[in-house]
Amino acid sequence: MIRVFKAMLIDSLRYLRSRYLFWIVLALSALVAVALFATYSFTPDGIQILWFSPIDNEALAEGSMGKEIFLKGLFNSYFVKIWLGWGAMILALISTASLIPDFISDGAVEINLSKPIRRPTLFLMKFVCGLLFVLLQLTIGIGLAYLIIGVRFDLWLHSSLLAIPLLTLQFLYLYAIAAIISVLTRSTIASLLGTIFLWFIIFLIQFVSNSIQLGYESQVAQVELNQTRIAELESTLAETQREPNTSERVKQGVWETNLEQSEKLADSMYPWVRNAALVELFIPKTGDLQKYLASVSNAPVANEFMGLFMDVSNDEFRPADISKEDMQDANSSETAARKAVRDVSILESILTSLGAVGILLFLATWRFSKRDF
Amino acid sequence: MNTTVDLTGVEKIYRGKTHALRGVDLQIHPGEVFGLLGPNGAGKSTLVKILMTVISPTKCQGTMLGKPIGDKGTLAKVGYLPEHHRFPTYLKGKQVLDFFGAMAGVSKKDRRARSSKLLDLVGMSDSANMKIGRYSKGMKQRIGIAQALMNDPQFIVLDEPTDGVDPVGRKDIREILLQLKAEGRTVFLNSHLLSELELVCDRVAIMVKGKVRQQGTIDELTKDTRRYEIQLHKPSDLSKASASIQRQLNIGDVGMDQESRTLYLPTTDPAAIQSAIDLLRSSGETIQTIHQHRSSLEDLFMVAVSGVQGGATPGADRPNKGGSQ
Repeated sequence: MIRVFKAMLIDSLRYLRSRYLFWIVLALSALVAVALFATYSFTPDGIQILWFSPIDNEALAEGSMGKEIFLKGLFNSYFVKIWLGWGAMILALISTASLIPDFISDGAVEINLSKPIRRPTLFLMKFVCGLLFVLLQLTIGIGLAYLIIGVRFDLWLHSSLLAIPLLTLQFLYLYAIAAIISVLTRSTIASLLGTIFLWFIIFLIQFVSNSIQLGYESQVAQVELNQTRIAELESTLAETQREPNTSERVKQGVWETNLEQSEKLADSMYPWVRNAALVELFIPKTGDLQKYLASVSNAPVANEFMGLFMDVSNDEFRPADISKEDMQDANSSETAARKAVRDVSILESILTSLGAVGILLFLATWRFSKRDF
Repeated sequence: MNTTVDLTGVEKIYRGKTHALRGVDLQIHPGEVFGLLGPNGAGKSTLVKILMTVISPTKCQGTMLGKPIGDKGTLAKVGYLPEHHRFPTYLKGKQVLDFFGAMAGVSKKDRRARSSKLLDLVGMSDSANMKIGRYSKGMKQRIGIAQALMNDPQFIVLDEPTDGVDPVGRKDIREILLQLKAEGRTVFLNSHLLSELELVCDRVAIMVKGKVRQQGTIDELTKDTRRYEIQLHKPSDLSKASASIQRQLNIGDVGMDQESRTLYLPTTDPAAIQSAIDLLRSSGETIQTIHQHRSSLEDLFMVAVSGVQGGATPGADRPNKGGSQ
């Protein structure tokens, strides 16, 4: 059995090597890694892109915390999420879409099935071989980015290497969909379009679920913020043994109103959060893997990343009727909410996703085993 | 007698509608070259695919190499070249042999040894490093045959092995088949080229509409079609001559063809022919030619397909009978 699997792996490798797209994706991954991590340097006053004049930015200056936040942000939000998670993933699907349809096409399937290997074993081996494309691409692409960041900036983002197995897992989710469509239709085009369509549906479900959860977590953060403010004021008053003055009374009133509104909103949103989570239970959760990766590598959320380039609480960006303190609080609430959303239970997510994938694979294997070719 | 393949009552109904096989009984003996003939849609490929576990039968009793049909382990001893096969075009010839050899469970050492030997056998050593995508149809067939032999099989199933191969290539393939037979292997050939089959097959089966109509050695199948044909020069009365021979020699129905002035004597006995010659000469007839006739495989095929004797044996007035069915 090992001999057969080894032969199939080597065959898949030869198949990939023969595909121009394999080399194109590889070159693009290298190009994106170089563009994102090797085209600038940090100076004592900020950042310099290529040979252009340095841009002064204290947050990004050499030795600042901003440098690490910037690199982690670029790695997670752009390299992993946009390029590898979407771009390379779609190209990988295009490259591997014909693998199973070719395997079971007329003239090929007869030879494959006439070998002394049970059909389920044969099919599952072919499926695993299909993951080879992404595994190779990810290992080379992420490995290159890891090395460039490490060597150029002396910042070794070990947790970024987790992207290799996690994104391979993401591809496995999608490839299981491709596999069952391939077995049912024996068509490369149907397999590719069907997978992309279902992936889009999965994305929509997760997007809606995320939005609901973000709205809920924002209200929870608001509740916590207002509770903290009220508690702090009460503590100050208790320490100083005095009654609140007019300004403090107004503020306390506003905070209590906000607290009440946020609690009501959070309560009303909770059933939606629960229902969205219930729907997500039955789909392969591709987005959770990237959320977990961002969480485990402590990558900045969107507003933290943007905070490197502009202070949203300063007068330039802040609406006139909102105080600087309120703006900062709102910003920190949003950060807390975004972090809460990406704080997924990875084990539960992977297990339930694998459950869905397992059902798809079982059906595909069963159909392959029973079908007359 | 041991059999390599022994099938009884094999049936296949596709999706409850198309009755592809209607109870096929077939025996293939060890060490023989067995040919399966039949028109398009007769069910030949379905039968082969059942043997190779590519499709599952609706009903099947039988064995291949002593194991029930469908046993995957048995396939380690079986080589198969399907009709219209498609090898991965990104592989080189020798990589095809190596890959499918490994799939059949052959060790790396044996694969290396066998692939160079087989490339020689099929005359593809010079093209072994060329990609399949650049091969001609004939080259693909040759590599396909080599692929089918990679696991050193006891039983080899070749579906249209000479399809697309030029006459020289066909001769080469014939020689390979005879060599395989000489090595004691059993070969199952499925082909449309009847003359090819006649040259190499020990036994044949003719399949029509999902049933085996005739099965046996070519001698057995043509036994009842053997006869002497006597062509007369300007006969006075062919009918009278025919009736006279039939009456006096008691050799059964003597046929005739007025146009070619030929009498058909249903006997293989040379002595009976001497008497017929004497009789014709004594009645003043001039004999132009005498020859012994035996139906070809093509004749048998046409009879089985059409249900009547005709085509290549004009004037013959009774249908052939099979040797064993």
